[in-house]
Amino acid sequence: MLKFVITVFSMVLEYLPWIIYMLCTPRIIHFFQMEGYKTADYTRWLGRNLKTAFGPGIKQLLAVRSDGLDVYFD
Amino acid sequence: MCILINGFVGTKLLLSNPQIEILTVVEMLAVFAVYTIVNFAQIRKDINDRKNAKKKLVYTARVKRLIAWNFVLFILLYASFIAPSLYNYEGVTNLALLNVLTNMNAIMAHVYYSIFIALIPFNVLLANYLAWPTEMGINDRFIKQAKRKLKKKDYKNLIRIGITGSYGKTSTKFILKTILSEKYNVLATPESYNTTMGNVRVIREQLKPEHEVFISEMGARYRRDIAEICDFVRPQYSMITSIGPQHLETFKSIDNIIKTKADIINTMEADGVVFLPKDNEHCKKLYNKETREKYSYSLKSKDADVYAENIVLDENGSNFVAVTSIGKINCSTKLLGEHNIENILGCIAIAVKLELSAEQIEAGVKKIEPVPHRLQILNNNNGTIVIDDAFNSNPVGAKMAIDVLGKFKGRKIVITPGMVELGKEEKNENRKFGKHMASVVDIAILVGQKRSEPIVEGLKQGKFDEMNIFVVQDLKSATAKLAEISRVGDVILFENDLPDSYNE
Repeated sequence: MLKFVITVFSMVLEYLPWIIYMLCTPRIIHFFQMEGYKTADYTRWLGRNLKTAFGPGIKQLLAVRSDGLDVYFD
Repeated sequence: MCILINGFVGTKLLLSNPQIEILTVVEMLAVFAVYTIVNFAQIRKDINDRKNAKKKLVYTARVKRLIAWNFVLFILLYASFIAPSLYNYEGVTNLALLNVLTNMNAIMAHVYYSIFIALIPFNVLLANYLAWPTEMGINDRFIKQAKRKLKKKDYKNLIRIGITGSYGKTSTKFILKTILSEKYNVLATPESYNTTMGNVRVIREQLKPEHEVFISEMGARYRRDIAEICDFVRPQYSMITSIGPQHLETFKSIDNIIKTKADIINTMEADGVVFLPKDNEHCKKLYNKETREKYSYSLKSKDADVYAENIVLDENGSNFVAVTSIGKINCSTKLLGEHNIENILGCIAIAVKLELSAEQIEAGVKKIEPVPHRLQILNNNNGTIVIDDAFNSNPVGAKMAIDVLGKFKGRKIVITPGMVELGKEEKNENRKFGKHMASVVDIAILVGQKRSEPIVEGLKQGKFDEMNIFVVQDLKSATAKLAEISRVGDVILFENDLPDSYNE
């Protein structure tokens, strides 16, 4: 039973990065659209809004420590 | 697809691999679960942010293509991470993420997972570069279609009017449409559509043979933007509403702004007709240089072809007499502010040229409705008057808005984050704005700590009572503050509401 549960979870989690990546993309595309699809304007926006643009990735990196889940790491 | 199938196969193989301890897998799943919770919390926040955004994400065909390119990039990224860890288990090449992760240091796995999310802003940029040839091809095809449509004999007699300017374009477009509609069947680009593709879309989708006049609003943020629109619209009548320090960040200098705006005239045929305001020094210079048929309009100068007399401005609108070549026209409008009278005068100049009678012009001016978010008075049930000037972000318009506020009785409150995209001049202009505000306003609610610093300086220079300055973090806090301090009879001006992409 445990093996079955793990198998199902593994299958789901295997593709989670795909799902999460695709769900996170519209957030940035929204800003890109607001900047009129212009690369120059978008890069200027990126430079000025590092926190907004890269925050979730950084948050992700820091999440484990802040959640006290170090126990799961070697 | 190979990666996808391989992932499933790999996971199954992983779990049947006796060499991998079940505990390791459980640990990894736990780590993944944490990431998932963190990510979904973020995604939920993103969705809420997008729902509450002033300008929502529109899933246009271009956006969908961009998402598809991002997905392709993700696959490449995913594969490139997995590729070095390829291994052969029981003769099957396996790309499963879990297989790789269980062979990794857990910290590395954590970094690895985060990298996918962190790289999205770069991937969007890269996706745009990848999509660029396709997008250019599509845009080019649409532009050619619009060009061909305008060349058809159905549109041979179509009167094409181009309007550009640093500010006042949209208001002028709506004013002109209202006045000319007294005689003609007019199509104007809707809302603030003023880009190349915005114009192309209106021509392709909305322009019909029964239209007699097409008014094109032409906006610019870069040097060749106006020339690009003129290339297919080919206006016979051109108007520059104003030239000033707008979008200095992208134009770099006022000279570039003048050259860009002048493109609307320079790209015209020799028989084109030009309309320029005499009160704007840059436009005046263009007027003096121009050799085509030209008309000027002015609030102050009686030398202009169309000018105003007996101007009366109050909280209900404006009354004035427009002096034209067809006689004096009594004008009465709901629009607030002197700059709107100037815009109306320019439109009257065009209307006279297009042979509208004085009666038609007078009737047209009466019908002009305020343009949303441009000095628009909103009905409020709590006894306060709200003036919505949220779409205004230029120094002249901001000053005018404060002047309009000064015409009202009652306590005057301004909510503003100041002006943006003014390049090196931004701080200075915001300081001047603050100083001018001090002479009219009773309470200032400023949005954004850092952004409002020069406004606060200006207010202090204008000897404004510091107790009446409130600096808040965002618009939501500003409206909360307003609810706390406002009372019956107050007049509240919302001056420039920044787009969602602007943060402190």
